[in-house]
Amino acid sequence: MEEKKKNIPLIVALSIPVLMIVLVAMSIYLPAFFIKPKTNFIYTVGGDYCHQNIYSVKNGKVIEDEIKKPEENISCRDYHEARLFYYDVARNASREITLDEATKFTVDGSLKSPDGFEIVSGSYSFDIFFFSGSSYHDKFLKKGAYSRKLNMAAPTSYYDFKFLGWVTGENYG
Amino acid sequence: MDKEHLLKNIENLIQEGQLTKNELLEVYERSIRTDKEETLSKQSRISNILYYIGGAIVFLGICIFVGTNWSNLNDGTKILATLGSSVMMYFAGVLLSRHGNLEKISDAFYFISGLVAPLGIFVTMHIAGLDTDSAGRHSGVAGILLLVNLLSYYIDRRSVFFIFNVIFGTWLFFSLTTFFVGGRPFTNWNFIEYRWLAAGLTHMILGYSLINSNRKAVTPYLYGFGVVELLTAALCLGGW
Repeated sequence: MEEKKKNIPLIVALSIPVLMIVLVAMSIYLPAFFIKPKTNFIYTVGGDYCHQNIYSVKNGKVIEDEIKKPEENISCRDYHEARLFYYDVARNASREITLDEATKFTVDGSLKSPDGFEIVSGSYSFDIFFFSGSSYHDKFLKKGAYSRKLNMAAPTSYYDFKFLGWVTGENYG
Repeated sequence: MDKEHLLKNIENLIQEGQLTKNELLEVYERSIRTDKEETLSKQSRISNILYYIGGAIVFLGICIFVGTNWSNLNDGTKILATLGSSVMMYFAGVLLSRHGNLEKISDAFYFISGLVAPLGIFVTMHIAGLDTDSAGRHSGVAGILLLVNLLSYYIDRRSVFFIFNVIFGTWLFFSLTTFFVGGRPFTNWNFIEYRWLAAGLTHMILGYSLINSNRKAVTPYLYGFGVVELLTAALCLGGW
């Protein structure tokens, strides 16, 4: 009994970090069992740094804008051509689509999806000895405490990604 | 109570037959023995500190040697100089701990081994083409080192293993929580501060739990680190 009493501070000390690890893991992974995003979305990758992103949403449809390329700007000579992607949240995967395909969808350009999700950038985090978890380039689907990393189609930098809108039309999928 | 008064009291007790010559001599012998033991203990502590300083110098030497000759060393030599040194130092510690008069020196070898081990694992991982920056990999390395030190401590209850258990355990706690959270968009979590708060609290309570054990020498250090961690985190959380 006396021996057990002596060990109480040791048990308390060791249970603090263990409990925190368990709570952190639960707060991250548990919501994923109950919250299921449903609304797919369309985005573009490339071309945005030199304002060459030629796609936008007008009246619920993806359209192609006419932009004159600034050929005299040296830094913009090697810009990446803007590409359209359709993100399937159920499969957590992207597939490239053509403008013709994109125009078939009805798109809602609001920041929040009809089921309450939004796309946000990751944040920086530090470990005890090193800088880690730099994921500002990564995109997350977020709703309250729930967040899930999106498997984007290799955006080269944070300015390459442009969200166009949530697919709300009947003819998507 | 002055000396005269004390001697008079002793005289009275002897006359009354409450104190014998043997009892008096026993108290005298015991008091001399305690003084001798304290002197020996102080000398032992100083030599222990010198062993650890020596160990730290050897560790720095290995780091400087590998760092300055990094481009000239081949992969095998890099691994041998870091992970190889760590393993060899550990076995040297094991061999020395078997000889009574050299037992204390083995702590210095275990100390060098514990310091060089993370460097050795990271160098080996780097050569194997594995990413050494991610929190997941750090968790793995911290977990392996903690396991080795826990087993070592279970077999041979030395303070050096206990200290490394605390260090690697703290590292595992931080890297594992970073691994779970990663770069998730939780800007309003005060996550870093809460982690330090938990670490500080853990170190302080761990220090308290050792007060009545033979590891009580570690308690002031755990209190010191714990207080700094806890207060810094609390001040940051308070918006300071």
